[in-house]
Amino acid sequence: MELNFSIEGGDFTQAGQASSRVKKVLKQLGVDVKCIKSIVIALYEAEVNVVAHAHRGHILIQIEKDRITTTIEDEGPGIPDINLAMQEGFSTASKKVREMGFGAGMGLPNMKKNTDDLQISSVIGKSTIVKMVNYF
Amino acid sequence: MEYFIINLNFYKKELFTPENINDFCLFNHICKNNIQSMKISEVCELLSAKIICDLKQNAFDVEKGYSSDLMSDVLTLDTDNLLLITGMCNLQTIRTAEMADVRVIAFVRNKKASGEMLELAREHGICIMESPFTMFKASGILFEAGLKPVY
Repeated sequence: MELNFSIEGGDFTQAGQASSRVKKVLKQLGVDVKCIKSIVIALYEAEVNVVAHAHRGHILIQIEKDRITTTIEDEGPGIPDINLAMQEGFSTASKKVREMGFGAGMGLPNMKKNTDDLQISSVIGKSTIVKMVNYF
Repeated sequence: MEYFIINLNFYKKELFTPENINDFCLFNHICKNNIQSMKISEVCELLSAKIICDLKQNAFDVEKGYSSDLMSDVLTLDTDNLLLITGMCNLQTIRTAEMADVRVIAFVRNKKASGEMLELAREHGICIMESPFTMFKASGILFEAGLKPVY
């Protein structure tokens, strides 16, 4: 099963729509509650990141028998130093994002914590691609 | 045991007098350390709060409390039956609660949830209350009443 979502940068009302839909689908499929929570938290963090940092983005969800693969691709500034971005507390978020309760430099480490496999690739000034795999 | 203590707690004003204040303190200490969960109506009363979205409020109790305005921190928790105490009042607070399986939110500092927030909360069965207290006061009262911290 495949699900596709588009995200507009800067539009905070949209952040969470994809995660919400995925949560419903996984519940219907009878996936373990703890597993669903990890998946949607990682996806929600990713959605917030796209809204907070990029111009626009696209999410592709692929659900297979034993796993869910989430690919988030955005058009934006990219991540110059991925290792630095993975450190808790490091953030380049704007004041607006911080006022929303995010941008504390917890997003990427939390995504790593909640996924079995996390891969990030980025082209500075162009795009970032995040791929997450969770096994059921 | 829990039922017994809650019922006794109800009558404690009659059971204890100024003369046996030490017994009262000991009793209170035992009560607090034995509370396993707290009813939403009890939380509401303690916080002088108004429940504005009360789907199935009696269907479950809260076991632990977490006070934060930082949603990123809320998303790092792995705790069931949690009460979120926050002054961060926007749509993302509800979304965060939805993703983190938080079913009760107490907004402090007199923050008011918007219509859009209530609609989303209703859709996901999240109970919302609004308290005029500061986060410090609300947390202190609930802690004193025996609600446990996450860590």
